[in-house]
Amino acid sequence: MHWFSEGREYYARKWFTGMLQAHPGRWRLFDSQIASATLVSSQDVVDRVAVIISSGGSDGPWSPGFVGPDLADAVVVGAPFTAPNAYAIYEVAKALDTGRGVLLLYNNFMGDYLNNDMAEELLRLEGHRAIQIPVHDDMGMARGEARENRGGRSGSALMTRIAAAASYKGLSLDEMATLLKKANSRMATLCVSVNTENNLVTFGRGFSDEPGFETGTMGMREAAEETIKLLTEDLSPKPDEQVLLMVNPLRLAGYDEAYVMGNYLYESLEAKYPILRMNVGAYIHILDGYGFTVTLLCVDEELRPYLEGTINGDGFII
Amino acid sequence: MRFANALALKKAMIDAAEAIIAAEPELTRIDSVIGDGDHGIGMKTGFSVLREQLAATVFPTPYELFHASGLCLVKCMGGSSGVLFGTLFISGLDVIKGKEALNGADIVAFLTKGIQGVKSRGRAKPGDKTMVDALLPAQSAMELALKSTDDIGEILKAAETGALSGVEATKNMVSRLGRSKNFREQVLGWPDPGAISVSILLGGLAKSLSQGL
Repeated sequence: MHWFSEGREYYARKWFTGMLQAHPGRWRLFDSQIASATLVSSQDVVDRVAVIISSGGSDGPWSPGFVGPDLADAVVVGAPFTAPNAYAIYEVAKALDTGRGVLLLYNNFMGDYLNNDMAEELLRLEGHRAIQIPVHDDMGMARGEARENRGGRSGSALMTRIAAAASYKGLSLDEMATLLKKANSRMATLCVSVNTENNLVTFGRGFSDEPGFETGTMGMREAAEETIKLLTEDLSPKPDEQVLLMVNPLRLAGYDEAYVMGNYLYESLEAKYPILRMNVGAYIHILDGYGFTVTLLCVDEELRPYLEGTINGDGFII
Repeated sequence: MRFANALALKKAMIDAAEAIIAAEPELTRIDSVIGDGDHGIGMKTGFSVLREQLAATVFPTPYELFHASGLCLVKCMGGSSGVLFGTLFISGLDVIKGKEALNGADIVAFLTKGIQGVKSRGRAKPGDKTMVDALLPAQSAMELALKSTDDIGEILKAAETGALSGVEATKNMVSRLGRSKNFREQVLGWPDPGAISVSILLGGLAKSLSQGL
């Protein structure tokens, strides 16, 4: 971003234009009245709920890579490190609403919440139904408070998948909201960051550099076991649930290392709980540095149909 | 003035926008000490576009005027300030729907709902050193004024006075929200720029609606 010199308000538009040039036909740019950029899936919304995601700036494939066939219908991105604009969310939601309503999905941060909450009110005033789902999976944030106060992390990748599947299966907006609230409450993400010079592992480093709540000097296997212990203590998977494991490397962790860590995590989890499947990929690059974010989602009979098969996003499989 | 129609309210909004634009250097000076330094510029940008847009548009009723004003601030100002100042004019719209002109009670009800909208959306509590600390005393003051007068100018003048007492009180507060929370005790002695903007906005409306009739 520092190398880009034309002004931060042009960044997202340049970025999306490059995406269109690389994958013609997958998306179209929405003709927004304001400077923030909006990308719409080439797959039209026909008699189903429109799924609109939004985020500030660039966090890897999240969020524009999550727009496309069988994924979200549109994304609004703000200037780098700036929340998406409420008006931009409102205008694309109005354009995509077929009468079945609009689902607004975003990571639970103040600026993203303010703008989505405003967009929801603007839509309601004009007779459009909209429901917002702030993803709150980061167990490193708001320790000791209600789950709803946590920030969003890698879990928004899975939530987008579920929301899109529910929309394509024809669920009503209210049914989708119920389903997504359940997924949101049965999911947790833990950041495991590592100082590779001395093997000092920090658990729970927050999105805004909150310091983490536990540290220790250990190797990968031990860290994986501790990660599974902390996550399963937070979620207490029930007998009727299978667990979906997702491993997301931080910026400096490699492709191979994500699978090695994934293997340790899988073996540790498998010993205690039935696994639905494991997703490994750089879905959301939030923190610089070395390490991973690890997500568990507890999946019951009701949620399972919305996680069947895998979907190709831009630069990842989920 | 006991009734204000869309035309009078439009003029008042334009006058208030001009007051905000004129206050930019002062807002910037204070926000540079305790915040990002961008509050004044953001307000000036948003209210300049608002002023142009209102001047170029005819509004049949106050509902359309305030709806367009709120949308304009959300769209052109952006950020938290755009959303929250937009909310002030959006959240009370249902209480003025269908009215050709507003009386003092309508204006108090409209602004009260807008103020409560800002408070709930912004999740700020009294004492957090935000615009809410100017809005809540403004609400109490105009509710009190409404008991003794039906003059819209006087009611809004009371709101401005209430807001100014809130601005004064923010000097003794430490921020919990926004970027200025990073400055902790350094913010003591300085008023909150968002609270100042509220007092200027209400003052601009009061002055404009005290003239004429």
